[in-house]
Amino acid sequence: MKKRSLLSLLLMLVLVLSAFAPAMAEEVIKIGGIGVLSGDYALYGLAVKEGVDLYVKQANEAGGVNGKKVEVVWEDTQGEAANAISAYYKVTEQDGVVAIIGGVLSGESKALAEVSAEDGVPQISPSATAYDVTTGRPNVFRTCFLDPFQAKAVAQFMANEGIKKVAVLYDNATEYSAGLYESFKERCAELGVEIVAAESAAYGDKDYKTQLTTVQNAAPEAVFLPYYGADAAMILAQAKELGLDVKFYGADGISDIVDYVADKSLLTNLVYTDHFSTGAQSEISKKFVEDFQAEYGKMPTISFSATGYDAAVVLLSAIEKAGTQKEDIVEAIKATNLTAVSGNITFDDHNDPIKSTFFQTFDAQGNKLFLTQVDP
Amino acid sequence: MNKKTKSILLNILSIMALYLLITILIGTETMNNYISNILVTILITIIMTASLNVTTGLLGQLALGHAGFMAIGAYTSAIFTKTVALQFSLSLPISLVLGGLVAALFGMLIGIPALRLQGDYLAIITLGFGEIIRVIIENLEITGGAAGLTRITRMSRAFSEDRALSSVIQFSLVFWITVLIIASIFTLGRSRHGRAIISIRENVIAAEATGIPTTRYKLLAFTIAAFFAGIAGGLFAHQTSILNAKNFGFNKSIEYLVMVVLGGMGSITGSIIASIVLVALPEMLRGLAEYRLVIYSLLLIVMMLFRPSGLLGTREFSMLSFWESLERLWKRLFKRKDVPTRMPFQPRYDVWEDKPVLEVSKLGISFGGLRAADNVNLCLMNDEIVGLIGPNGAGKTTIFNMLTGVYVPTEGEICLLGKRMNGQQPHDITRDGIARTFQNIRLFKSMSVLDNIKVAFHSRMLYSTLSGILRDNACLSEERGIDIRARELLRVFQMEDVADVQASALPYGQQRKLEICRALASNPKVLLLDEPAAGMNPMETSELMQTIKTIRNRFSVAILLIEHDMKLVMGICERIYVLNYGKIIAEGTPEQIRNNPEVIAAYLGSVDAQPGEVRGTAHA
Repeated sequence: MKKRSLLSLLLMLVLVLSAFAPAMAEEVIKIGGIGVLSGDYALYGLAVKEGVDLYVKQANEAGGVNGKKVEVVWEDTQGEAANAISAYYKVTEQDGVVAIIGGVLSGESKALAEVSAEDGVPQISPSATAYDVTTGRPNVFRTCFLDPFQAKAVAQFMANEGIKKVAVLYDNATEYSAGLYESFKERCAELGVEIVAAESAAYGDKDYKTQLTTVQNAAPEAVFLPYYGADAAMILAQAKELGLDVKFYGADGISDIVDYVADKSLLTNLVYTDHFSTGAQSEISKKFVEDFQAEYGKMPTISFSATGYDAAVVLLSAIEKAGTQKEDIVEAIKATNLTAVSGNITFDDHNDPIKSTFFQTFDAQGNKLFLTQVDP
Repeated sequence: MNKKTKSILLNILSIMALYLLITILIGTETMNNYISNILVTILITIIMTASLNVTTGLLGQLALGHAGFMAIGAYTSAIFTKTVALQFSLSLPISLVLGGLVAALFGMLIGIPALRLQGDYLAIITLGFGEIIRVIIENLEITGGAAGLTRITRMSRAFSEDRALSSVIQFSLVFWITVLIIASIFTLGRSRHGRAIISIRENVIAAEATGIPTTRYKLLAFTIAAFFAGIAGGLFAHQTSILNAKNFGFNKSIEYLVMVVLGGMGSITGSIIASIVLVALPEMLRGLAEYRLVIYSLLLIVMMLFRPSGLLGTREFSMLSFWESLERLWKRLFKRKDVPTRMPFQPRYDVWEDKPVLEVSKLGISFGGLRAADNVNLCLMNDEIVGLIGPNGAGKTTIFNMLTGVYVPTEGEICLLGKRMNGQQPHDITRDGIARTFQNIRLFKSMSVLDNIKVAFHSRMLYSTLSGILRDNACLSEERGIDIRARELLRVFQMEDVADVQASALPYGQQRKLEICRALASNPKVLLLDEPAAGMNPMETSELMQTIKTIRNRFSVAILLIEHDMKLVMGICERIYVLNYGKIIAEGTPEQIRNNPEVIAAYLGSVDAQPGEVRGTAHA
């Protein structure tokens, strides 16, 4: 027995010592890529990674940034805040990155922002849509629009369509869903759109019929569904069973719904806001879609590929202008004004992008249909 | 200096040394924030697993909601430091204690009803509790709802403007809190109360009967565990700056439980080691990207397969025994001059006159519809030579196979020196004292004669695999011992000169002898010989008869032999059993058997008995 404990102790020692191995200094510019790359939300993290990697590859092929190659050090958070902090210290102190792209989810991005703000390391999140990620943190930016922004855009869109009575089905235990609802409610009040029912059903539930029945009884003209795709798919199917035949509106999180729906014709009833549309008409957007297809053999259907690509565009162009000092990079990002694949990007006082919203729907085969691009 | 003082001194010294080393490394920024952050995570995890081990390990109750207590502590502590306008270095300790107390309160509240239950029921209640806590936190205004609490002051920056100093203070605080908690769990465990808690794990009814108020002690253990988990939660909150109820769900509880199980339920030091390894491992494996989770899980599985009771089981790792084993290792590696010889141990058999060495009663076995043995009763007295004869297919070898554990009898009993042997593995039966030879010789053909014998000493040797790899004193002395024994044994059979010959190169008669010799190497009390004379010429057979008698006298072993050669059977057996169609049809001295009409009928065939095959050598 003592021999065993001796062995395990030796093993531990080896493990701990190997952690001290210093990072090698190289003639490259290193960027940290931190986000959820495994687990429930890996889909989003991997989409971001594909977008970022694509632009970095293109930049390197074009000669790099200021003659130096760019390398992205990716670290997985598994979606947990504590891991995000650990990953942050790993890339900044072990690998010596000059800036960070990430996190992917709002929670991990907040944790990341908390520590990056302490050091002033530039951070751009391609997909953290919660409001207070950037609040009071001059070094933290994002290339996606916000939950309040898109909720308000949805309300506006509904009002333009002439809808007067809406119902909301949301998850008050999920920050994303609850946050969208709050802003939606606010904007509806301003626009005079009446919310006739607001029902909460937890993320991960399987049966939404009770809430849907209440919604149905309130007889709305449209239903706002601030859910992720997996849940929304079940809701749409159950709504059809109950005979609730109205337009459904969602936000960006719903965009992966097509993977979860058996009967694709259900989707023709759904309109949602997105950070990007593969049907976007601008030249740069079209080129991005082509390049992405050539690189990965698929369409960038998850729009965080586009915002990830844009995050890399913003960051590398800032480094190109300002060099690799963190204060300089932050300043250069703040001054960004460029046309990226998801629209023209500038940053407001809160470090949020002022950019376009894309409204999309689906055809009966489940293909995304570009409805309109609403510029700010 | 007595052992106890030495032990305490060693522990204190090594903890101090570890602390100084790490603080110096952090203070000089040799150790960066990445490592120091992981170290803090490890320490917090240690508090969690050690405290969970109080309920799961010491008390022996499966609790699945430990992360719930952590959440309570974390939120309480974070809300306190966020709302109370005190200097952080003052408000943090208060908030930690407060977090612990609130968690303990919940521990007690949930414990009062839950601990009247046991096992699975308690597990389910604690599981439900963990989930309820999560849901409540997600729906309360004060806890930030689903968005969670953010911008909680982080310890690693808040203590001082100087970042290194602040990191050092953070580490020191967490380190000493951890040491304090671990020490108190240890001292508790060794007190009257700790004994009471452990006695509940061992046997609740006995504990109650010896005067332990079990419900009270269960509650005590549960409350203490919750208190410590609450403190860990408070530290976690001020490490990460962001709290989200989702992080304290079922998965988190299971994560800690896995660590406890892996370290060994009931071993606090095991929990510590498991926490270190399981927190450090995923970080170490970061370079392997997506494979790291696979490797991590595989390691868990492998570990549970090979050490199902965890790294340390219920034992504790102590600095003293570590020191002593270091001393031994040192001696083993550098002072290996005079290695003593250590003989393989001889099992002590508890034999006395009149008590059968081997007693078989009502033994039976069926293979599907075939009744291969039925109601077989036989016994072997001390140092007796007994024959088991019968026509081909009578079930003789089947009986041998049951005696040696190859077949498990469907009914009846096999007792060796009063110990029931049914259902034991063959190697265990050999260890307990029954050795055999085979009808068709089964030697380790490509091994030397000497090595064939040495293999059979295995069950009588002690040194470990590691000793074998290091070839240390334990190994060398024992190997020297069995070399002497094996050569002695070969000398008895006049085979000393062929010791280094490959077994398959021996003539047939010698192979038979080697097999018997090998069977004797394990120092058995009962030797089963399956047709030892088969294929031997008359000269070899008469030599064999002499050998068998020698064996009995020299090795004090009872011998049961199957044989068709009636000259051998009648010549050396003191008693004979006759088997036909799986049943004993006769028992007696050679003289009685020779004249038994039933036996004659079985062998030669008669009108009312089934015809049996008659072998040329059968002179019955």
